[in-house]
Amino acid sequence: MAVDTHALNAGIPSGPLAEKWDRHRFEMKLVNPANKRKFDVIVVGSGLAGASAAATLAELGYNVDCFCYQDSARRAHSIAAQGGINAAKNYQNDGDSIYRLFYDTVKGGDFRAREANVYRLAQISTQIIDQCVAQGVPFARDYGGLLDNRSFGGAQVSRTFYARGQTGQQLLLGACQALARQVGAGKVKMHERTEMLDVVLVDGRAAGIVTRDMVSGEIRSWSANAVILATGGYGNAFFLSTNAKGCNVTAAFRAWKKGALFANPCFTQIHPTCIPVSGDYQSKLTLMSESLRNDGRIWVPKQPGETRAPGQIPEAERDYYLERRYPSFGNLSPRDIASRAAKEVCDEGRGVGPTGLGVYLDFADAIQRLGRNVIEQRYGNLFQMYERITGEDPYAVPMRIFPAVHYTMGGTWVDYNLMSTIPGLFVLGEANFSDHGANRLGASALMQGLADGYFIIPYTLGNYFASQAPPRVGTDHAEFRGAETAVRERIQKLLSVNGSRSVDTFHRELGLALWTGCGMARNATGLKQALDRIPALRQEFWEDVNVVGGGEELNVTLEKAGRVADFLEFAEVMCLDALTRGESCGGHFREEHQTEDHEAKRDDENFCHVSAWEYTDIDTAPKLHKEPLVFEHAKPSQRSYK
Amino acid sequence: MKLTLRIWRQKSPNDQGRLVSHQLDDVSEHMSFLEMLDVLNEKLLAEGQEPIAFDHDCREGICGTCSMVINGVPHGPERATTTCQLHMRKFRDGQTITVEPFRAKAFPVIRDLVVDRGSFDRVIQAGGFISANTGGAPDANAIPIAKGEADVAMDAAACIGCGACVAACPNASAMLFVAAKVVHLTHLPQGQPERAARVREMVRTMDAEGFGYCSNHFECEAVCPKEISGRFISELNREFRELFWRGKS
Amino acid sequence: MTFLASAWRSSIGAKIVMAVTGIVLFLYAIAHMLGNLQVFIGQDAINAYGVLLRAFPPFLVVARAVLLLSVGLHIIAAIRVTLLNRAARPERYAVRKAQEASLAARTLLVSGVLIATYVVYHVMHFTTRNFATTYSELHDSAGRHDIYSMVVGSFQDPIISIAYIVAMILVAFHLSHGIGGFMQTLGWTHPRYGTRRLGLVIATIIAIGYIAVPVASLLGILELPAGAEMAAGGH
Repeated sequence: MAVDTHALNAGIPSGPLAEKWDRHRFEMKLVNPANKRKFDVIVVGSGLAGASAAATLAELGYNVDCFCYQDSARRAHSIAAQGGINAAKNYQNDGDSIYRLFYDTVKGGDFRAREANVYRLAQISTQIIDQCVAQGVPFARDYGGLLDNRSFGGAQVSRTFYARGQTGQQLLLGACQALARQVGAGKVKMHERTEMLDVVLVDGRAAGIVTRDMVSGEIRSWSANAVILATGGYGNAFFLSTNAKGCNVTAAFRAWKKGALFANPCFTQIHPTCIPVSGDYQSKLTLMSESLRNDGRIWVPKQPGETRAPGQIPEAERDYYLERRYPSFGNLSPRDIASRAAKEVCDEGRGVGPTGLGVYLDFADAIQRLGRNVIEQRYGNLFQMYERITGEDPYAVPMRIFPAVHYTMGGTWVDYNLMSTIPGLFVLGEANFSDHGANRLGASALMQGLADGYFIIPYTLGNYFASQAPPRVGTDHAEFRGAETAVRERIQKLLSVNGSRSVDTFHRELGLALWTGCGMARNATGLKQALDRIPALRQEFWEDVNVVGGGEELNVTLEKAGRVADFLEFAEVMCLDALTRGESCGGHFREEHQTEDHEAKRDDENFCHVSAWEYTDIDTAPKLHKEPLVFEHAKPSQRSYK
Repeated sequence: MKLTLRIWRQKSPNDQGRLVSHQLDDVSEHMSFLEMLDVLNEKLLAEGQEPIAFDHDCREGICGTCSMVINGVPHGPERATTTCQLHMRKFRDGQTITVEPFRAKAFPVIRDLVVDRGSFDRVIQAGGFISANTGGAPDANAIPIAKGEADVAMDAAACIGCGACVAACPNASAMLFVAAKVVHLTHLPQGQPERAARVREMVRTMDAEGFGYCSNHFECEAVCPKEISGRFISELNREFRELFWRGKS
Repeated sequence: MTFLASAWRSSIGAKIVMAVTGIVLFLYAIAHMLGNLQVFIGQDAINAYGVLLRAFPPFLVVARAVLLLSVGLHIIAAIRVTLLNRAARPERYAVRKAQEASLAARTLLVSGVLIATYVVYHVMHFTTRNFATTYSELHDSAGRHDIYSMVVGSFQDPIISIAYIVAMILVAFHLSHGIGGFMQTLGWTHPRYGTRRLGLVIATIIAIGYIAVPVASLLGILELPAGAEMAAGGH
């Protein structure tokens, strides 16, 4: 494996932390208002980051083409975020500040994020709330008519703004309505059911993209002065995750193959409170709000192989393992710790439910203490959802929960301006390697997506246009023709395998290999096994996959096949990164690197850096670049929740 | 469970579609309806047939993508539930289940159970927004909003835009969808400046897209997975009437 | 006029026309019922009421014009809305199960057509008296047209009564959806109380009010005055 010792330059502005963004905004070049209409921008993705960027850039006067694979911009998976959005408003007068949000986020990310980026995020957080309220986002309010806040994991202040359990939905509808307004005004052209299949570079710059119209199958090129990817995370590499079924890595992966570095691919977040898998037909995992852990007690039987119903197991034979191991945080331990502890008890054979992969989340004590009414008021909708999915009444029988892949902190490497290593290719939201380090705190994903789209890209993109004057190349350029041909050939190749296995069987097998080798806990042996298995599986895929139907029609199998083909390559980079990062941090837990109490042990000496991978060739390992992380304000310390 | 599925197959928008029967054995009652279709699709693939195309994405009841009519009811027999959250335990062993796409002139079928709901987006583009350019917003707490009003706005804003209301309406009317957006924005102070224009333009676009007229059957409310109230339609009507009196229709 | 035309062309505008004309007809139905119920007070009361209605001819002309216009617009709007609604769903469902819509709502067009047909017959029967010219020759002791005898006499014929009762049940059926409908369309709703039940209650009261007269005539509760020769029938 080649390692590039030239540090990546993130272009972080000089000066005191609190002044960096202001100073940078002043130093960036501007595009004259009358000249903005001369620039065309492509935005891929219409979630929080994509929709907010497309709308804001159009408001400024740029011409925007926005693409999404869904049938409407409003269906992007940001819509599923439940809990809320953080902002350092300090409306509760409980001691919050920009600095505190910055510090909590860096610490929550286990000291693997850039200080300057995180500080900027905390600064912008307050403007996001103002903007959303102005758009008509119906945030929860108190009786005086002012905005209400709730507290969330990893913070000791109440800084989370929310709209019932549908915060993501309301923020996305706000952004999509701003987008719709620009579509109506003719400044944005929306392209729904259109999937990006390649980025096109001309003279080293991002000059456009190649797409497939998912209804007609038409392959087409689009050129612009800059390309923005806001295409979300890659959690679906695991097949089972809380992501939407359509979420994929294709756009980011294509950019990677064209030279954009990919950072920290092994940083994935596993959420502890999901509904367990019920059978091998399972297609997706459903998250239930973390808030359930406020009143529910998590336990498993003390004896492995217990067969009695939960109600029959006496108190003395139950192990409330989180309360036992983390007496001060108990059931409210952070996500990564709670998830790992559940895995450990299940590995010991003490897991519950038909598959043995589950733990009880028991409300019996809370119902006895507070009464059923109170529990119903607090969690009624969640209990209803649980019952709908499992057919069990959680008021009578303890819930069963198990961790599930939820979010990916890794992503395309970007500099302070959110530009990848390909000039003119910007990456926003979950798709970039982001400000969350090795672990994201609850209610921070929405904040980051909107910060990138509303308040960062409008400035940094203008700077790129003004300082570099990128030309707009016509789609008749040879690079476009070549990319289109490559896309067509690949589709033809998928259609012509005519094998015997369905795409889903490959995807499930890949997911299982990743979950086993590169899931909640990783070790060198398991990772090496995965690294052996994945290329073999990929080869089987290309020899034996069965893609029916044609290319020039709506073909769901073909769409899936293209995405799974990319996951099959990308998964290898994830495992390689996990193997290379010989430490435990945040969501990345290497079993070889733990304290005596089985807690994550960071190695700041050797791994205080961003790992950014460069594509070389399908048959040679990618090249590693390191961006050192410097902590001048938030001093790295061991996280403890005892 | 053993099931007989009668599913609408239509290769392209201009193709004459038809109901095709499929047998499915070994259906687990814990499967979601879409997982049952996944299993059927795997079976079809194994037989070398093309799988059934259906829209779906989040599979947790919030994105509003799934769009099918199950035994004559959009999103199937369970109230306040999207198809993706509907589980097979709501059906009987040996049952025959008919699955059709949402049907409306404004929702043309693309393939099998997939329909084009772009008309909804165009209605929103006509006025379902508040014009607030990024950057110019006052402090979020500058204008207090009574909790009751904010709650009504949220009740209406819960709409996921799935189109079940249109599918269920005997007239394929989009009044509940339009009303939900109008009521959401009308109940907020930020929505006041564009109040009249919003109603006028959204109703005009709704009509132009070929949706039918509301005849107060309340089928929309009954099938809405987010239980959006049919009363909001009355409120939209009131807003429209006001336009007329003020000479702005 | 373009302003009015655009309001009429819009879906909600057309519905408002339906609602407003519906209200006129609904109010007329109540007024007519109250008029009818005077037969229970006696021959003198209802015959005097008949004279009162005709005492000021312009009133009658305007009232009839408004009614006719309302009926006309109500029917035109209904046809237009029905055609557009059919067009909005060109392909029917193979299986369709109504969840909420009442039978009255789903058969509004059928009940409307039947009512309109009956009304034509009813007007020819009692107002223009095409079937029984003898009706016009009925006079009470004060020399007034004897409405009492005409009504009670007619309703003693079970066929006339039954046709009437069926028609009035249809009217109530139509109204049971129509009342909630116009309230909803005009935005006269309450955040807590629904309009649907209210419609059913009012419609039931109206039905009872109308049906009371033929039922009482058939049961002999209402009797023809002594000596009144009734050439009953006319069908």
